[in-house]
Amino acid sequence: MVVVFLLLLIFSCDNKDFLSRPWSRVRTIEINTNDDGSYVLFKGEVIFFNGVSNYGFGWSTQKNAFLNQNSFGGKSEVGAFELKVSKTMFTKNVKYYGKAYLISGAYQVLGEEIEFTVQ
Amino acid sequence: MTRQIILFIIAAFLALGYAAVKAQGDFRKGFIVKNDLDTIRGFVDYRWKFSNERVCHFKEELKSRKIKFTPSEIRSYGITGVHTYVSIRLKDYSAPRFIQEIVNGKIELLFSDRSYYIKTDSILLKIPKPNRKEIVYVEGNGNFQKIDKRYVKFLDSLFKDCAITAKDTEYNEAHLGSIVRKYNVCKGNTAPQITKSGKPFIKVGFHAAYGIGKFSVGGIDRYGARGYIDSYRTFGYNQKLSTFGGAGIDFYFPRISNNLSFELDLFIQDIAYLVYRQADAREEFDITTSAVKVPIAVCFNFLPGNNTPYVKAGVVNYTFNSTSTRVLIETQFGNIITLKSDDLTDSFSGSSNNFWFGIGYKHNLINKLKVFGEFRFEKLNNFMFQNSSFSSVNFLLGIKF
Repeated sequence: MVVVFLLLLIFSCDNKDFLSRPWSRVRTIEINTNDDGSYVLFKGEVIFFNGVSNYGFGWSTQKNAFLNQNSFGGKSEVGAFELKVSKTMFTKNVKYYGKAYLISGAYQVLGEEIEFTVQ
Repeated sequence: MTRQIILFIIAAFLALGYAAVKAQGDFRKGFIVKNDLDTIRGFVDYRWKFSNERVCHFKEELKSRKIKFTPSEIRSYGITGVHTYVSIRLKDYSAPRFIQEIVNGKIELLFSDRSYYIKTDSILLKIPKPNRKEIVYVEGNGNFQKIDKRYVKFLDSLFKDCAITAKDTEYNEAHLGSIVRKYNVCKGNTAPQITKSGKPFIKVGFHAAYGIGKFSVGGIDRYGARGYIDSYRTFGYNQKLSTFGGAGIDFYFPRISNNLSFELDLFIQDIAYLVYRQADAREEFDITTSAVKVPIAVCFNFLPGNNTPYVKAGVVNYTFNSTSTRVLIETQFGNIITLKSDDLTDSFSGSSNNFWFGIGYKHNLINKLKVFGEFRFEKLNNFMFQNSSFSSVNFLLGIKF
């Protein structure tokens, strides 16, 4: 009994709920302009799931802006996703800022913004 | 982690105390010879040599109550194939003691308090114990070792009727046992003669185990501008449990000690570590990795038998693979959540070494099959950045066979 009690004390989780949140989480893995001669490859990942009504990638020539986007619709679980966008969609030698995003309930969740330039 | 270490130490002391109080002994097939020469077969507690000389714990049946015999109450006792103790009053003691019988027969070889004795029906003689080797200088011949050979003369004189010489006999159990047996054979003694040196020099055992662990990270200062990862512990919590499983080999040296053994393990360890802090943003430091870990240790068993608490200490090597280490920073402005991820995987070192110690209890189930439970504390240094440390408290359950 004593050993069981000590095991519970040592190995019990200190805060079981600290990961829970009312939105899903997404991160931008990379934006690769050299993957293929004619495409820009966007990679992202849903890393915590609590409902996703829409997700995808967005980009703009402005930081922290969201002028162009491409979405996939709903998603039912965590996992990586990617998108290929033709280079003709971008102006050459102009800096762009892209990110993964998702809509989860009333929340818009944005991954890290990554800078890229199409040559 | 401090709380875990304190609890670990409390667990260690409680486990030892509990085991010491509740230890039911290790009763093995044996016998006692009463003073009226009646022999009763049953089970004798296999214990430390020191305890064996003072008292004998005996059970007629394994389930019956143990009976305590002092040297005045019985003539001898023993565990079949392991040892025999006879009740004798040595010259230096006022009361009889149980003395270990190394060889029996026409003459007997006994051992007590690092000295050997020869016993016949009528006499008990102590074999002169050699003094320490001395280095002496002889003018013209230089240094040489002076070896005390009084015991050789003693044995030569004792065995002269069989023309047996102790010239090449050393003062140890194997050599003395051998020459006494030879003399007994010369005197027509064909009965089996006890000898402890029949024990193997090395015995090998195996074990398999599965466990859980809780890790803590310290000393990481790479994060500079965004604060020290150490400070995450002020706010955050380790949510995840790590698991590991594997097998190992135990090496025992029965001739040297019944209490010491060495062990070598190979475990596959999954490590999950996650802490967070909540300031303006919520920051999470997350390590997920797996490793092959190889602990090597010296183990001290408190009791010589199969049911015993034990402690062990040694070194451990971790070889990491499949590592993912990142910091996630999550910021909320109204309904907009922004996540920033910083991948630190490249900072992880390939392997790391350091020390570990453990405490546990093993219990015999059937034949050679034993179960054991064990707490382990491990510490690794420089597993990521310089001065980083990884410590863990683990509990494992396993079987030995």
